[in-house]
Amino acid sequence: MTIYSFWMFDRHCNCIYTREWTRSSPLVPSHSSHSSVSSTSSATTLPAGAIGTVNASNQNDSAKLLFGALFSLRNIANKLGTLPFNEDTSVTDPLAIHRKNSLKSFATGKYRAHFMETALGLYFCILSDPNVADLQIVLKDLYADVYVNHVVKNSASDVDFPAEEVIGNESFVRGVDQLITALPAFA
Amino acid sequence: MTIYSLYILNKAGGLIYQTDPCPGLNKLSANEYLVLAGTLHGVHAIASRISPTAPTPNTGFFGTGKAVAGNCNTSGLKSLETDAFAMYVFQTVTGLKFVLVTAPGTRAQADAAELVLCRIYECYADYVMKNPYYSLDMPIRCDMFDEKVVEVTQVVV
Repeated sequence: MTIYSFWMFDRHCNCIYTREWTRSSPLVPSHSSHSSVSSTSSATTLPAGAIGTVNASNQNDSAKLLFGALFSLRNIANKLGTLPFNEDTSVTDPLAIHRKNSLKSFATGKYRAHFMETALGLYFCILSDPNVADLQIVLKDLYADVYVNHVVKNSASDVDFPAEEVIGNESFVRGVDQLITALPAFA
Repeated sequence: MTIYSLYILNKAGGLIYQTDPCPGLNKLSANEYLVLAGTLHGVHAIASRISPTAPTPNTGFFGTGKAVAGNCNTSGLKSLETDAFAMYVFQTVTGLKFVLVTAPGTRAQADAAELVLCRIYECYADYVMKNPYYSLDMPIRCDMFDEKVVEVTQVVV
């Protein structure tokens, strides 16, 4: 079992963070010339000893295709499914009233994409082997522990990113790596 | 495994059959169902393009095992998990897609769902393709097929 990559998209549909652990070349060769230039300039340096790339694929076609697939499937999930309103959980979970039926993952024969959307419209996505068990808890941890602590509470960091801006924050990169590489599924 | 819905998509992504054996999903308008089918068709194609693993070279029709295993859907969208339902996609060699929407379940449910889809594909071959009045890629209106689908989905429930 393997975890291939981690992707984050903001509410403006921009890819603000990518982390690929397995391959250095883009998944889909990009046809537009500007994307290869901007992807090299925005690439973030990795912590020592880490493999793969950080923020190397934010502008290429695979990021856009992944966002499109997630966005479409999320809309299908929202439209087709309803969650019964549960009074017990609405007390413990203040967000329960706003909860729609949300997409958890989609899979092909080759990989599985685990998905979580935050209340502010941020998309978190992990690509893994199709046999990896549910990673919802990990995605929640990435948001609550890593993103909130290293980006939201970081006064030097943007929270709302302008176009083509990415999270280059070293402590965030390290936090994500620590969390994911410690997983039993990461091998 | 509770089966909420079954959709059949032709090779162009058009919805040619739709049935809801059990209630559980929101009702959409006829247009929205067509959009849903088209979206699934598109995402199926996109999903095969963003594979993080290197594409395996096509070793030909018989080498891929397509002839034996009914489901030739190896690189496109195969399943979908949400809080309220799970969705399984089965693609035939000719590009027809059978989509089953069920109550959410464990990963093992995927095998059971594929079995149901195989059975429905058999019914399609027997009662739709052998119907002389059916024209290819058009909406399926065959009473016998309807009956058989009810039979198959009821056995599972």
